[in-house]
Amino acid sequence: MKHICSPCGLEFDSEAEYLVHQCSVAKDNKPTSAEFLKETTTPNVEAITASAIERGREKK
Amino acid sequence: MPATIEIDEANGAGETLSHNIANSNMGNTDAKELVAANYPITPGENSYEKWQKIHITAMGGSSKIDNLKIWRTGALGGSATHKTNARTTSYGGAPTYATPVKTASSIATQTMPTSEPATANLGIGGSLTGALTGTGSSDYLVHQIQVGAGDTAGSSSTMHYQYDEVA
Repeated sequence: MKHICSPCGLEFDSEAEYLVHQCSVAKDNKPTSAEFLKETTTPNVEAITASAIERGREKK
Repeated sequence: MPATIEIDEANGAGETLSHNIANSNMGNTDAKELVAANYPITPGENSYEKWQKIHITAMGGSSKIDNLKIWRTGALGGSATHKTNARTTSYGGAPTYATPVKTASSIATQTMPTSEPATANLGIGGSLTGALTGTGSSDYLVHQIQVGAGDTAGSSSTMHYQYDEVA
């Protein structure tokens, strides 16, 4: 089955490939994977995680 | 963050799936986002079936998507009717994709609701009580406009695709 991103017209061989592509047209409602969302919408996720781990250590 | 949802449409013999379609224009060709004025439905005939599904591409902070409801608001032209496989009782399960046809659909056989159904009318995993807890899609929604022999005017109406999202 072929997958097409309707807004930008790019074609993909699998849904997985479609889900991680960065659409150049539908930027405000870009289909994406949970992993990609984590990377793009929470750019400081690593810092937050490190901080949480540190707080956990302090609690112990 | 809420879940990310889009409507997808399948076309052609090869089930080419177009993601995140912009409209559900219906007419005398099997294509997504068609221009209705260029493909008017012949009086006495039908539009090509639409094969669409609700696609959850990211769960965001949600844990579950369910209770899918499909309906249309706005009058159709002349004596036209709008048929669908969506229904709250005697649901036929997930239809297996078949190339869209413009003969009277054997799958879209019930009148499309014109107000919000009381309960789910489109399934997930073949069941009206189905749910998605991760990325995935609904069953195919199949619908078709069937027009009378004396119908000459088109119409514009709104499709509603509703779901419940559990945080």
